[in-house]
Amino acid sequence: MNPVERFVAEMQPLLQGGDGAHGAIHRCATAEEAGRDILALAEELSMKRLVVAARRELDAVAAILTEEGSKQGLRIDRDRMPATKGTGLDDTFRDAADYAAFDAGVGGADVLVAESATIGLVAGAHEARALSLLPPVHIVVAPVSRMVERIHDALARLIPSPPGEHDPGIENAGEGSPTITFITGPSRTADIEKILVLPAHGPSHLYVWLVDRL
Amino acid sequence: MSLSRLREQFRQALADPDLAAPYERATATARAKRAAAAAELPDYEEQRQKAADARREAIDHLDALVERFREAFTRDGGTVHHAADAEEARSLVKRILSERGARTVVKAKSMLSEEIALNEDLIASGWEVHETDLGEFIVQIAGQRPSHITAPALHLDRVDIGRIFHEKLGVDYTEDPVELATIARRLLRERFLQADAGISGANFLVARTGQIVLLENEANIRMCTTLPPLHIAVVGVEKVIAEVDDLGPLLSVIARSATGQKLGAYTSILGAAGPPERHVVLVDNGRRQLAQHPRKREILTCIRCGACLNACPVYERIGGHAYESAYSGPIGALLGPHHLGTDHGRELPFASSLCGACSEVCPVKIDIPELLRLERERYVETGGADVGERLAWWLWSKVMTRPRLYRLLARVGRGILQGPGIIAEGSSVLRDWTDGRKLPIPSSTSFIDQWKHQGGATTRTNPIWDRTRAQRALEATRKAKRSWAASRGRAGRGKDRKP
Amino acid sequence: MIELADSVCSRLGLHKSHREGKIVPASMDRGDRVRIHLFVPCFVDHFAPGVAWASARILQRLGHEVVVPESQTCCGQAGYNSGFHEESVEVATQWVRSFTQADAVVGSSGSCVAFVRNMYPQLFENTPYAEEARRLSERTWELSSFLVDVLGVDELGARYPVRATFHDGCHGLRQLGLGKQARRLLAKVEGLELVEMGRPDLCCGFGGSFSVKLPELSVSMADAKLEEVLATGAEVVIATEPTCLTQIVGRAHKRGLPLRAMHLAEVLDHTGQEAVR
Repeated sequence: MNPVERFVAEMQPLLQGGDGAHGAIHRCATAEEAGRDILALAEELSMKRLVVAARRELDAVAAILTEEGSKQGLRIDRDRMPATKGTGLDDTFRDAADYAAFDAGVGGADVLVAESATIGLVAGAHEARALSLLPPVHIVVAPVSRMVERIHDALARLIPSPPGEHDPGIENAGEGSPTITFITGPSRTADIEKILVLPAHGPSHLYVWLVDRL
Repeated sequence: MSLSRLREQFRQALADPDLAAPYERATATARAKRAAAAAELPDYEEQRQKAADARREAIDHLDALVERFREAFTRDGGTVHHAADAEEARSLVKRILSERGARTVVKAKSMLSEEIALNEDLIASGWEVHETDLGEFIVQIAGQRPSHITAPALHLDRVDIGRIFHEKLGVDYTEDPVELATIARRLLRERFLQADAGISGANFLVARTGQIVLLENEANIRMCTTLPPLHIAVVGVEKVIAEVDDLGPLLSVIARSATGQKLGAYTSILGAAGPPERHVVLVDNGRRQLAQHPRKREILTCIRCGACLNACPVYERIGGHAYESAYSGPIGALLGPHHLGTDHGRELPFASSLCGACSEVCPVKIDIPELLRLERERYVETGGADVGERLAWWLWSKVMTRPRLYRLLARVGRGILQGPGIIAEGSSVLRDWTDGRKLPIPSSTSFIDQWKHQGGATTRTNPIWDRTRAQRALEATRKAKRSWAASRGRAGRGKDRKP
Repeated sequence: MIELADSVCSRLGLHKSHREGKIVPASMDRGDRVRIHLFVPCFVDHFAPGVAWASARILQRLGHEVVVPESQTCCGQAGYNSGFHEESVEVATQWVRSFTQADAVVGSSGSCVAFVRNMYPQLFENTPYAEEARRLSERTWELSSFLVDVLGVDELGARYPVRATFHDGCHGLRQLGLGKQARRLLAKVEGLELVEMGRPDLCCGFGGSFSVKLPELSVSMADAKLEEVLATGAEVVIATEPTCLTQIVGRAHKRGLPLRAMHLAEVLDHTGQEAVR
């Protein structure tokens, strides 16, 4: 099993709640395909408002969503990079709480971990932390090229040694030590009789598109 | 507390016929999941060793790493505070909150905050504190205490929780876990968005980078550390690790050991990007003291995964509350004598059959039975054992080193036990055994006597020169013990200070 | 007489010479068999002599010489686990003195053997017994481990038609890696049907002085173990730990349950001639 297949296989059980599927994982060739799939999903789930992260690599996806979305009554908000890079602050673009108003947050991934189907995000102006936290649905569009085998590899990639030298592949990560979120499936709890319940406080659904060329 | 009080406490817990069932069920599930998750990772043992090494390394260089963490965290714009004990930790948190005019607090699950009784103090001082982990939330509104390090509401079933929600939150009764979780989600979502401050603990502090690592499944910790403008992490000093590299092995074993997951749903590694104000309150509360002990420092390598509780045949019978400590189970019994989380934990090391199921699963390889035994030694050395017990073991050591006397006394003893059953069964000396179990019936003749009688080959020791040597051995042991005790005495000044 | 494989000699740490195709431990004073010092745990000596007899007979049937140091009393574990370190060293010294001439020591309790093997080196560190304790710790085996791991024997010609279950004593299991050896031996016992418990490794709750210091807890743990045992429908519970058996069956009989307990050695000693008890 290659790492991408492993990622897909590991992701499947994470998306299963006691009450059915809490997301899906797809592989596609281009950003366009991912964009159209997201439109179909938005229609199916009767979504009204989506927010797309500021990452430049999501420009194409954002463009399709904006163009085609208006036809189905879908409003797309796009986060923008702040004028000055490296403010060191998270969520500079809007108030973190504002993200609660969206039906879904469309973001990317700075690393993908095959072993555990984990999505690694570096916080900063290119993607606000709250985008993957407050909306009930978290959508990830990420290039397969960011796949690594293990969490060890992901840590080595995202946390530079010595500090201050950032991976050029990670946009606008800010200064100082990076803030990283590893996401492994939708929010969950088993605090009542060890029975799995999805979601707890975070997103209820996680949809992932692994794109060959993004 | 005395051993007899501990016994009484356990007796009361065991008298509740419904107590064990939820613990049995939950720990059985957890054990199976852990075993499967460990088996699934081909190099699990290697990762476990690396995780154990990383934690030992960290405790060996505790002060240097704490300082390194402080530098890095400060460089990234945060503030580090040092608290010598629980009292100071609580006042530091209150001062930080007061200075920023923060009144409402959302709180992520933290065992340390249980240890220092932070919630009680904040609430008594007028703060509004909301526990946000579902289990902690349930326990908080019920006015109870957590019963497990990682599963605070483990002692309650869905009917209990349905009733608690109905009574305390005024919602319609439901025992559906999904509905119950939804009620909590809705209620707490508002509180996350409105809170002035988020308080969390930490799973690890990375010394080089100044990052705070927090692991969870629910996303409540992400909420607490993302939404409010002020984040305070209240953390035991021992949580520091040297390097980011150490996280690979630690993350590989911690979720597997706690819940059987490869990784929890969310692993937050908080660096410079975060709320405008970030504070870390580093709490000592006896930890540096413990770090001085050549052997017991190992206790500090604990990563609070709860696997030892799930494996423990004692915990499963008496539950988490009978320990009367923030930390229950085997690790709680180890922390007890050091006053971490309890005022009366000196006897807790006796609450173990030393079966070793805990260390078998410990992801950082803490030799819990051996450390419990060391605590028992300290209990005896510091006068914990009563006169009767001390006399009994002294006699034991004298009789067992005199084979002829021993055989003679054993013959007498066997005779008594063989006498009319009623005498033996009813004897008060033996009641602690016979109340619950039949006495084994001794043989009229010992094996060794039978063997000799039948002409079996035997060997003997040379009683004269060998006894002299035995005496020297004992003196060497005493001497080693004295020098050890002396070094401990120096390191251990003020050891018994209460939090 | 038995032929000792190279591996056996190396595990015993014995010199070997090839004579008539037989590998002979050079340090033995008589012929080509192993001279085994029988370690009779105090509990076995007074309460279960049958276990020691069975152990001795099994070893003798395999062609070995069995000798019993008559000055042995107790390994010292009981005091050690209760926090009485010094007293324990004193008692353990008696054990070392008793076995000092031994090339191979075999005992019928996993827990006592584990104490000698794993704790003696550290217990006697920096004492005049350090060298001897270390040497003996490497030469002391629990019976099932000696049979399977050292002698490479698993077929003893035992016959015992009964439905039984096997309890893993904690110290034997976790400190010596015992369990698989006993199961291999039991698999070869004719007529014996071994039904595994869901949790064969669940502690029985004995724990030495723990059993009388916190008796209610200890008994409650015995009940949990009994539930496991009873669920198998076994008539007999087998173990390599005499004290576990006393705890389990002591509780069973207090509750009026007809369970029987047998030490592994007693089962293996059943050669099929005698009537089943």
